[in-house]
Amino acid sequence: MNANRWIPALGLLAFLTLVAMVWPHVRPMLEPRGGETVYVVLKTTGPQMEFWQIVRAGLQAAALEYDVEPVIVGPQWEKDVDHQIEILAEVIERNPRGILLAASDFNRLVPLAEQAAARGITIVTLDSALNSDVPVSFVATDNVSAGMKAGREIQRLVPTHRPVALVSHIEGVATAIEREEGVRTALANRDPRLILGTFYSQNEPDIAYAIVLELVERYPDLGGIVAMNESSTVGAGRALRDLGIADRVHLVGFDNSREEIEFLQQGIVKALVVQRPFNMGYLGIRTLVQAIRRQPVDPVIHTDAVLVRRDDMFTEENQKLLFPIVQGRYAEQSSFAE
Amino acid sequence: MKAVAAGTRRRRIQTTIALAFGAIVLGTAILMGILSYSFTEEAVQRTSRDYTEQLVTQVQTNIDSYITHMQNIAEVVQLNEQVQAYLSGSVDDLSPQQRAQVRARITSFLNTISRTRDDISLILIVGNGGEVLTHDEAIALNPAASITDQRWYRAARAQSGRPAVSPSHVQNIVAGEFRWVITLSRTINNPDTGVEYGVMLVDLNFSVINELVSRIGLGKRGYLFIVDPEGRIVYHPRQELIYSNLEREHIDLVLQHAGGSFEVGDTRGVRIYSVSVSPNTGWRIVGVNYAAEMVRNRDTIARYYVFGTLLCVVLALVMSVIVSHRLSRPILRLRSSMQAVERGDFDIAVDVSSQNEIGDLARDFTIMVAQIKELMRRNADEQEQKRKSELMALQNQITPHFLYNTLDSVIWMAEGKQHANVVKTISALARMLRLSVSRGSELISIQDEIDHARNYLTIQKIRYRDKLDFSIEVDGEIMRLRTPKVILQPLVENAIYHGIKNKESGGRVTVTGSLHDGEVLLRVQDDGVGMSAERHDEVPVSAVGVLTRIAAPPRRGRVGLRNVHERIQLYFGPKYGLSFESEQGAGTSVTVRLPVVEANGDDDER
Repeated sequence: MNANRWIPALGLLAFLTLVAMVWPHVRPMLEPRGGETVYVVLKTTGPQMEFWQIVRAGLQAAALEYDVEPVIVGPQWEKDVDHQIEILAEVIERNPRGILLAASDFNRLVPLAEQAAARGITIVTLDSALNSDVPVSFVATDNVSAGMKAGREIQRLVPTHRPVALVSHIEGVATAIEREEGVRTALANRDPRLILGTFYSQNEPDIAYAIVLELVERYPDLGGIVAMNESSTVGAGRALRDLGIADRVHLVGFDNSREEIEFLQQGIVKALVVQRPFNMGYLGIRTLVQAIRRQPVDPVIHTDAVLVRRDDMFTEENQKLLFPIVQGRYAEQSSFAE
Repeated sequence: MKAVAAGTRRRRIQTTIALAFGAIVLGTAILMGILSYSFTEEAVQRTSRDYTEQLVTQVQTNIDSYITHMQNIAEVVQLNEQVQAYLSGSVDDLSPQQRAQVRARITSFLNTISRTRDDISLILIVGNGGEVLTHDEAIALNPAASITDQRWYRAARAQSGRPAVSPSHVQNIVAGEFRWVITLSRTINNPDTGVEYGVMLVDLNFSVINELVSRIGLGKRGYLFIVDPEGRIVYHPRQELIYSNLEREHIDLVLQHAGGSFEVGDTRGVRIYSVSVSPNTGWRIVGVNYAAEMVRNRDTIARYYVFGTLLCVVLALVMSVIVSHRLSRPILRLRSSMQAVERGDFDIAVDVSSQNEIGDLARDFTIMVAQIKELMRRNADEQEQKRKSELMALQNQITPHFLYNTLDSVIWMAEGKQHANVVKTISALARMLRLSVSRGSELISIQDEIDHARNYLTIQKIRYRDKLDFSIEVDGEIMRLRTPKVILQPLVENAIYHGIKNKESGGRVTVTGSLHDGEVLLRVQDDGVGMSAERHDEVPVSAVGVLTRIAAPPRRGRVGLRNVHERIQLYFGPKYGLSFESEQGAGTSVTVRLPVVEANGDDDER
């Protein structure tokens, strides 16, 4: 009978034990929603690549806005596909809800991506597509439209009777294909014989340099060159500078490295098609978050590119695109000579 | 029906307690919740707004101090005599070496000023003739950039003598440099005539302001931005998004406010803008807070409250079930005990150990049942005793001895041919026998009892001839009242055998009856020999304390009187019974005290 006196105490004890047991499960429900961790696997996290640093700034801005915790990983060097595969495998092991992936290779990351999707991980690709149906969305610069912008500028600068040449980076790479498509669309009303074909620099400025030297030699009345990425533009620009024929041969390039900007200001490059990496990063996270939160997303999300000429380099909008980073207080900025 | 009703009542105890507990907990929690919820919301909003306004003002003061510094530099440079002299053309007559010396001195002067703070990235003077002086000989100008086309140059020219502050921009005037700066530019005028000699600029590294502002977070998502009086962005963390129309900023609204806070709601939710305007530059420093963040804190608090309340309610329900179980179980035990008693089982012990009112109730109930049991036992005893007494009374009433004597007398009278007496005797005896044989109810009317005594006396009178005389005087009003049977006859018998029989001259027995003070008093009085004092002790006086002198009758008679006395007390309680008054040689008077008992229909029919 005396044991009865302990029943309320025992009941209370049992109740508290129960509460303690369910507490870890209940707590997340009480805490504010969001704040989930998403992984971003970039082509590189090295500080030397300005483009990817701006992408990261966009990622961070969107992460703040959409209340997620981004973990940004990637190999030190941009072309290290093996390392990126390793990193992606590690990320998948952590079973995040979503991965934003800038694939270094169109095919080699596909098995891992499919494995991740099988685990219910949402994948959105960024900048470079993947040869798979698994990603729910692809966020990238609209390279066709960017190519068209470059093509139209050439069209404006170069009389139709003079030949033009296309210097691209690597044959078969998505950006090369799409930009070329855009350029050729813009040049559609030209005599096909005056479009001197597409030459590949293999991402080496020196090869681009050599290509331009040879072109100028073979076609003395060459009127324009579209260089379809940074290294091609730099190589072509150096060649025109050294030959002193920038007035005669109009160069329209891509991207915004320091050297390209110098060339633009000196008139060696007539216009640069500049991407919006900040927006790309921002939209990448936004799309991933929307997909994770089961909101409808477009399968392809394009960020536009902007054509910048010498005379509008320093407009409010364009200077932020061309010079995206405000360097730190003591950063050495005066020299960027290669 | 009864069981169901009991069942619902039992559940109702538990439900009542549970409801009461739950209601109290729920009510308290909700009240507390609402109170602290509203207080929290208000406090959070106010604190946040105040904090943001302070912060924005502080940032504005900080930025102004930089601008003021630049203004001071410009002022010092503009008033410098060498600068004035060089720009005014008064050195044109000097030799190239001397002019180079002046240039070197100005450069050194500018250099000294620029070194006072490391956030000044460029001090540049450009004369009307296009000659340029900077703070560092090594600085080469960008050949591709035309100074006079620069925005800062035109701004300075446009407001002669007053400094113009640019928004953040990329300075491209220096070869090989694309530095984000804020440029303060002004014309250099003759202090006396106001004639413009040229334009100067001071560049502040924008990273100073960028770092200052970008490090300030307002909540999780809130941010700070700066616009100039024309609405151009000086700093915005999402400048790129705004330029590409991915995001809109309410710059137009900000320009309408010269301070304080206002609320804006759009697709990104409700935000609170706090504005501080720099008097120096007209820049607006704007802090943006997301109302949803405050709401989120509030919602978190609310969810915790709801969960806590739920826990408390569940706890209250559990506790109430336990408590009500503990309360109702002894009640149920008590009830089953009561049901046992109802069925006639008085040998129960209520198994309730609770040290509370229910325990007391159970103990009282146990005691009560024991009392009832005792009373019932006593009642049974009394019934038994009554039955025995009556039997004895009946046995004593007409003894064989009395029968023999009476019959002897009859024979004797028959021989003497006294037919009338024979008839009288035999009929009296017959009536006596009839009454004693009739085993009706225990209480009979006083009329019958008197008749019985009368018959007895009639027989005895015939037997004792002239030695015995009797009279019966009973009030008519008491005749219908009730009395135990056979109470007078033993008294009369006692009066005859112990009072009159031993008196030579014979005696008289008087039976009276009357109502006195709500009691019936029957008295049998004789004028016989009375009782001696020493025999008083033999009289059973246990319950009768009023007697003065009591004479104990001899053995047989004594049994008869005692029997009568006990029977009356068994029926009516200790207040009633017999009382004696006796005096040696004067006679004895025995009084029967009875309560008034009315006849009911049943008895009348018998």
